[in-house]
Formats: sequence, structure tokens, C-alpha cells
Amino acid sequence: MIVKSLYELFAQLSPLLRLMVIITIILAIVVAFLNIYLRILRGQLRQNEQNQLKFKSVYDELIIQYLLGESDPDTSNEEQKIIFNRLNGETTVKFKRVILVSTLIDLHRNITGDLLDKVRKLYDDLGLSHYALKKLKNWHWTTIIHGINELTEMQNREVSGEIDDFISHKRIEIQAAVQLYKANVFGFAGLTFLNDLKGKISEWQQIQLLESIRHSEGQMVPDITEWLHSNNSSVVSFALKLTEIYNLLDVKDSLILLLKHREIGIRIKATSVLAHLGIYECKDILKMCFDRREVIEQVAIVRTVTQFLDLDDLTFFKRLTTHGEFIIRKESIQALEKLERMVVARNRIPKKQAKPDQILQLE
Amino acid sequence: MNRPITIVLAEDNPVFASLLKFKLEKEGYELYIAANGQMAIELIRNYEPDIVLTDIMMPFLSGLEVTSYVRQTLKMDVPIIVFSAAGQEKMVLEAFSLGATDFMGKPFNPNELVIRIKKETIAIPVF
Repeated sequence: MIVKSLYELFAQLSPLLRLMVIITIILAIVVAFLNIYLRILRGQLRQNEQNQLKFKSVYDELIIQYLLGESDPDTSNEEQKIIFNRLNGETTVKFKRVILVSTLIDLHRNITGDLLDKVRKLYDDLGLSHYALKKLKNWHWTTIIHGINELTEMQNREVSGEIDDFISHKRIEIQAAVQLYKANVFGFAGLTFLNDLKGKISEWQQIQLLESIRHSEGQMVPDITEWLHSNNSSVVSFALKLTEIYNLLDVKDSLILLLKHREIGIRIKATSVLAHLGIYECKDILKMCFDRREVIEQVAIVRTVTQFLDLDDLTFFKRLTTHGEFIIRKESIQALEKLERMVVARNRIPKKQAKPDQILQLE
Repeated sequence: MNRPITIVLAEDNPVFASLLKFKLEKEGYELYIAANGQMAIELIRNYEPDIVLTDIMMPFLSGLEVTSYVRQTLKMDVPIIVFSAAGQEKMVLEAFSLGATDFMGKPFNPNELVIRIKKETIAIPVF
């Protein structure tokens, strides 16, 4: 009866209103279905989360028992085997494997010594590196990166050959992951990819690479001359950072050559590295090329020359006191003041008797 | 009967905390684990442990605040070993100025931690 009267009411409506009613009903049905779907989805996610927590606590305990059990006289070989077989059985299920890997990575990050070797061995013995390698064959680039990152975390050297295949991958993100793998696992020795790198290494990637090799204790810094002469500016920039951090005085000549590099950023960085290393020979070259450089580079030059200041620089700085750029004028006046103090000290004239004019007249 | 040496461990990484618990309990220590600084302070107040191990970076209250609370408020001279990650050198110095006894940089060998605990607790009578 109600349905019939509703239908009659609907029939009396104008076509536009009828359409609106139909759209409203359809939308209401869609919203109702979405509501039900989201409730189910939320329930499943909660269930997954609970399962994850449950399995994680079980696996954490089993892994820890296994790792510490070897050196424990109370734990028999048989018990160890039982734990291993149990863990091994779980690796076939992806959901459980992910939890196992996350636990092993977590431990790997926090421990050192023989226990660390045991974590790596367990990872290999459970065949987890094999699953990580399978990810490298996936069509999706994020899965490949996950695989590389996992092997990087576990410092797996054996898979280096397979990962090397991705060093020139068309996706820059995969290239970056491979570079970090090489630096993390092999330290300085892993940086050989810089020799013929075509792509650009971003500033962030450079920082990450530096952080990775920071842990390669006991390794000698390789000869980086080739990188300083590279056609790839980002490689040169990275090599300059290495020079500065590790105080590589041996590459002095290459650094001086970089003062004529085509890129201003490299020239400025080279200038500051030369100043950092205290390479006096660069001073005359910097002074000679000063006028041909842009203001930003001129500032770097003035600061570097100030660092190697001596009386020969008097003319140079005197001339710059009328420079168009305020910061250069300021740095030059400060340099002249330093020179004044140097002259006072050299002539043993009491400071209050020395006048700035005296210095300027020395020329 | 011997009284075991009691330890409060404040560590927000559950796997690492479990590993240390397993290791230290095998060595005969009695361990109370806190997942953050706030819980650690509660445990320290309730159990008055023989030694406190605390990570520096933790939710709610950091290891620095735990150290400060133990020394300033609770006035306890219990040994405190702080765990720090790379790049937290300034925080370690601050921890020492607040009264930390020793520190261990992460990652570390759990066997080394046992040695440090033994060193710090050698004078404690265990019965």
C-alpha cells in the first residue's frame, strides 16, 4: 500500500525531480555498501594487526632463544633444531615471513659481535635472502627497492653480483638503492660505481652515501683523483665532500685544477676545501682569477685569501675596499685590520701608536 | 638464598628489549622492562633496582629525563648506563652531566653490556 502510494507520488513528479530521486536512491545504496565494506575492511585490518602482534611476539622469542641458545649449555642441539624447523616452516607464508624479516632486521641494527654474525647466518639459513632476491625479479620498481633495501640492511655480500645488474637501471630510485647497498656493504671499496656513473647523485643521496661509509671502520680511503676529474659534476661534488671530511691532502693538485672547473658550485666548493686543508699554493691563483668571477665566488675567494693572509695581500684587499658588493668591502676591511695587527706585531710597535694610515702607506 | 641483582631496562624497541631480557636473565639478573621513560620511572620507584639501563631516545620521557629524575628527585645513586645511537654524542655528554654512570653506543654486543653491568654492580652484596 505504502509502496503503491510512493510510486504514484513518484509518477506525478516532473522528469527532473524523478531523476534527482533516482540519483539520491543510487547514492544512498552506494553509501550503505561502502559503509559495510569499510566496516569489514577495518575488522580485517584489526585482525591482521592482532595476528601480526601475536606472531611477532612468538617469533621474537623463538629467534632470541635460537640466537642465544647456541652459547647456552642448558639448551640442547635438539631444541635448537626444533626452533629452527619451526621458523623455517613459517617462511613459506608471506605474512609470517615479513614479520620474521622485520625482527631479524631490527636485531641486526642494534647488535654487534658474534650475535650479529648469528643473525646473518639465521637469515641465510632460513632462505630469506632467496626471497629477497626473488623481489629483484619483480616487475614493480618499489618491490625491487624493497628487496635491495632488505639485503642492504642484512649486509648480504653474496648477492652483490645480482644487485650490480641494477646499477644502471632506468629508474633513478633503484640506482640510488643499489648505490647505498654498495656503500653500506663494502664501504669505500663499494664506491667504484662512481668511476663511470652517468646519472646525477642528488645532495641527499650524497649525504646518505657519506653516512653509509662512515661505518666502514679500518678501511683506507681510496685514491679519489679520478672522481675529482670526473665529467659528472655530482661525482666531483661528492669527491670534494670526501676530501674535506677525510682531510685528503694528497689530492692537492687536483683541487687546484678544480678552481678552473666549468661549474661555479664546484669552484666555490673547491675554494672552501682548499681553505679547509690550508693549501697556501692556491692563494695566488685565486687572486689572479678574482675579477673574472661572479660575486658569490668572489666572496669565497676573499674569505680563503683572508685565511692565508700575509703582507703581500695588502694591495689586493686595499683595492677591494671600494668593491661594489658590501660583503666583499666588509671582509676586505676586516682583512686590512688583521694585516694592521700583523704589522704592529712584526714591528713591535705598541698598538695604540700604530695608525691605519701607516699600514696603508707601507705599500 | 642469594638475592638476584635487579635491573630496570628502559628500551622502546621491543625486539631489542626482549633480546636483552633473555640474555640478562640467563646471566642471573632480575629484569623489569619499561617501554618508555614514564614507565621506567614507575619501575625504578617501585623496585629500587641495583642498576638502570636506559635508551636515550624514548617516547613520553627520554633517557635524559629518567637520569635527571633518578638523581634529582629520587636522590638515588644507582648506576645508570645509557644507550645511544650514532649522532647522539651531545646527548651522551648531557646524560653524564645529569649523573649517568656509563654509556653504550648502539649497535653493541650484549656480552659487552653484561661486562659493564658486572663492573658497575661488583660491590653490591647479592644476599
